[in-house]
Amino acid sequence: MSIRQFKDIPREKLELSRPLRKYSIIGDVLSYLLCPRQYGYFKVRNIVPSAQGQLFFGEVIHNVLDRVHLHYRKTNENQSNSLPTENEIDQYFDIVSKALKSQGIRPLSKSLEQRARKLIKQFVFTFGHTLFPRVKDTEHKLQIQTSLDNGLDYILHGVVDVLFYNYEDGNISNEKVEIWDYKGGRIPDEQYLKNYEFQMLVYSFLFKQKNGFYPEENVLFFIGEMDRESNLGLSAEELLDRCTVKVKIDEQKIKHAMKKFEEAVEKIEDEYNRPFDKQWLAPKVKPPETMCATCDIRWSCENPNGKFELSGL
Amino acid sequence: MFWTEDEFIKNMRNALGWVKYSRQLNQEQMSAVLHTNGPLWVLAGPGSGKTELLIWKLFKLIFVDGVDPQTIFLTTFTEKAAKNMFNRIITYYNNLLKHGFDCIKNVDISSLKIGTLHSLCNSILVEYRYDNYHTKRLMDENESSYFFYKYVTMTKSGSQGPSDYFWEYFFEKRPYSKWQRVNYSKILLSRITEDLIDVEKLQNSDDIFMQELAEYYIQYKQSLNHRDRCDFPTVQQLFLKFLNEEEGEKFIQGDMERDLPPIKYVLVDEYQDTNPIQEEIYFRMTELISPSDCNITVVGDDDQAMYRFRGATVDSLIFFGERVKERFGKIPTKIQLKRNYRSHPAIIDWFNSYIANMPEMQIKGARAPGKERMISAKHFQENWNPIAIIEGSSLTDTAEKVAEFIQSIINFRDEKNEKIIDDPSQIVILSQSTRETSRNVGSFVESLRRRGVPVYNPRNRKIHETTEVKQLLGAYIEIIDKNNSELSENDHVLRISTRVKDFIQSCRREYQNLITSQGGIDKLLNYVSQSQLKIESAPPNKKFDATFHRIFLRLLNCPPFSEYLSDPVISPRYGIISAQIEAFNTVYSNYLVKSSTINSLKRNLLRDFYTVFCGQILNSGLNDVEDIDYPILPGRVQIVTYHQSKGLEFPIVILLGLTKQYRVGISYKLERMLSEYRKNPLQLESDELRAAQDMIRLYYVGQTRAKYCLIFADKELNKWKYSLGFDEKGEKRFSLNWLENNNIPVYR
Repeated sequence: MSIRQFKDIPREKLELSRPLRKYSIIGDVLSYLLCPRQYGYFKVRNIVPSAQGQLFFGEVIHNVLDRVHLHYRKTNENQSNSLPTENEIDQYFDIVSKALKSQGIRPLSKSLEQRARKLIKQFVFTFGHTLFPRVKDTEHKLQIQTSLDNGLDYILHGVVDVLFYNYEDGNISNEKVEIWDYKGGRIPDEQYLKNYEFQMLVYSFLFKQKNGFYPEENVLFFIGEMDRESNLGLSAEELLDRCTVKVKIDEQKIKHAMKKFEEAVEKIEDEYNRPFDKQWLAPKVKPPETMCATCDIRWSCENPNGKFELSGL
Repeated sequence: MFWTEDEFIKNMRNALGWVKYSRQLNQEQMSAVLHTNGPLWVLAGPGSGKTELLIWKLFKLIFVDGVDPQTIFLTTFTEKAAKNMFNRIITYYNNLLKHGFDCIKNVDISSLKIGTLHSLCNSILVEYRYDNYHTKRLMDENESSYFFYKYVTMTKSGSQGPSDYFWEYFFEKRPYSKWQRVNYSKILLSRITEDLIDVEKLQNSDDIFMQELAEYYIQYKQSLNHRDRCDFPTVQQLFLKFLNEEEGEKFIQGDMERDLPPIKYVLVDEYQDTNPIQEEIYFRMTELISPSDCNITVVGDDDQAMYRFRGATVDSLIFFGERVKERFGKIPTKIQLKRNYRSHPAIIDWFNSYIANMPEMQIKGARAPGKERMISAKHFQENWNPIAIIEGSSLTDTAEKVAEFIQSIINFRDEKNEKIIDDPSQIVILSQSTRETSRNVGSFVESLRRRGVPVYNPRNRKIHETTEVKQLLGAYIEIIDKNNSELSENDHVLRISTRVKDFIQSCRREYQNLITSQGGIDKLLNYVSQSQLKIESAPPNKKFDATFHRIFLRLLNCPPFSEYLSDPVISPRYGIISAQIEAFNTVYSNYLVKSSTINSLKRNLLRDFYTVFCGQILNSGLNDVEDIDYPILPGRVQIVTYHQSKGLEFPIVILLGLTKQYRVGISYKLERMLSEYRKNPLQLESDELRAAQDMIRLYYVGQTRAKYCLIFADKELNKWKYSLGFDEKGEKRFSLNWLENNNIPVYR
């Protein structure tokens, strides 16, 4: 067969296109910074991890609080301004819990499930009346597209748990808004706390891009702090103080956070350019001990934080 | 409002670098882009710049008409297509910004609602918390199969489920296993939802099987509800219900308090693949937005409709004009994008004639009305004859010739010592199936390999047929069932079909081969033997802190499996298996438990793993093998199915499987049987005609992929009726005479 028939076809260079990626602050950047290997295997290569226990606690709290907010807003429309009753919270909790379990997300123990239920109720009845009237929105999506210095485009996104109006002399002002993020646990060590602060700073940046102004305040609310024994006798205000960590809106800090974010995105993008078997290798800096201790691929890791030997079952 | 139409066009051309090439939108594209209000019906032929058009249209709405991106609803057929579209949108937007068009900075372009319809429905229903939807789990295909297996009555055998007569009535044969019943049930039940079948009509039918079907449908819906689950057909059904209630109206009109904008424009890509319920959703949305404005734009190509087997109905595109007129009293603007920027003019001529002259496509309703021939819009400096025929004396002979041709192309150097093609991956072989059997591409792959030409055919086997997956499953099986229970006769708990038995044995063999032939696998051996020991030495009824999933993950830590994860072709397969296991786990929880009586795990756990899990993967073949995302590997000739090739283009295309006759698959019959029970009954053409038309469309897609070379290769040229077709005079193109007279080289 003669290929001379085709000798004059246009000479075309092979072009491999690069997809545009979407980066979430927690799901992608923080995750990658904590451990690129985990990120690579579970997020990028879609191996499903097993550790779901921690997930239940956080998810059930988020989902139930979300429903509580909705309940409040709905009754607000009917002008009764009511918080859900204890019974109603139980109902919401049961529905959410059942749905999570049917997805294979289970609590680590019954007592932890009970604790989550109690904490939610405590939160609603202690702070509901003062906080809920101020809710502007929940599960608020923020997203921008931007590019790295080298011209690579990417999208940055995040979801804010609650946007609160910030009272100005008792009046609600559209221009003054607070970003709140609920955390199921207790206030963590410095190194984890730093990550949450990073998250809030990036949210602030996104918020400004969307609305043209920074939020008044960034608040991390650690629901797990509520049931400490040492809290007995505290007033609501004092309790609020105990449970929250505020992240200051500081332009320098925000700039710094965004730079760190971009560097992380650059690093992640670099990974994709490496040969397949050189991607997502174990980090040189060891991740936190607790992370490695529950990692599904710790027995084949080059640099785990701890000694792990695979034994049967 | 930012720009005038002229400014907009000028700015876009600048930002996209078109000015220096004097590149413009063509006349048809321009009309479609500038069209603002009212229904728009875009018939976009192959290589006509459909995606380009959609993006320009979106941008025009946003930057000229001042439409808020959040109010635009755009659907694509696959998630991948949505991602690609989104990528391009962002890229174009960023290009505009880079060219100093700061005034558009505050437009949040990524707030466009883009995605597949079911994923958009899902996120909207969650956002609006409709009917407790947000507490339900949306099951993907895998999970819904397990769900059907465990909970849907229709899949039961004996007196609990449908009789053999029932199945024969619909499928012309009896299902040979429970998994077959799952498949059949899914097909029937999803059709009822997607074809907008009126369940009451079914119940009131004189046909007892239809009555029975209605009952099963009701039970299936109840199971979903009861267990807080939803599947893809149902989420769309729920969304339609939502649109017919107050909350849906609110969604369309917007909720200012929550910063939730209204919907103002509906754009649908790949409209030829829309099914009846989707069509109704789009029409209902349009109605709610404003029946007088009727801002719906649909884009597609009826000649490339390939998904009837998934319930798609090409009629929605072909009869769009009629249907919009009936529903809204308006006549849509019809625009055909007929300029092709992809292929050599002779290729375009060839496939134009192909589709226009096939008798089955000349029947009314086969194609959108007024379809014109595609025109070449790309300019080629050189000229050459782009089409050739390879006719072998047998399939093996054809394979040899094709391999020889490919090798020559790759090795050829012209007078300047340049290659014709830059990389072998620019050569693509299309076939109906990518399986490497003798009837499919087996001999082609062999011939190429023998000549040292690298081939890339990652979808050559179903995943569970690959060595790496069998080895992994074999290791797991050795752990949980050291004693080959699948072979025990007279076990009333473990009644395993021969097919599953063979599969299990095959996995065990692969594992044995692995451990005897390969070194460096001590970690694996230790893990397996220690696990076996733990089970053996445990007291009766002991519950282990281990599940299928967890053991699978532990195995991934051991070579060779850990090394396989670094292989670009094996790694996606392991990802799929891990998703399968997770799907299985959501329905069948399986902490391992020791039997109370014998020295092994509880029989019912083994049964669940063997008959349910293994049964499922054998049954589905990890179904949509095509949907798996394998990376593109340069340096290798690609083998791709006709279906997968849609939307893509390649410099050199070789088409196989040319002697096929159309096959009247079961979906044609079912579509017809159920059509009288639709809310709006439909008259359909005969099954044979519809099947033939779909076959023609398949070949059309194949032919329209080629940019510079289109080669047909098979044996028995005289049988190539459906692949080569006829000329304007009705003369057979699949004859040596005709080809000779028309200067198409035939290599025999």
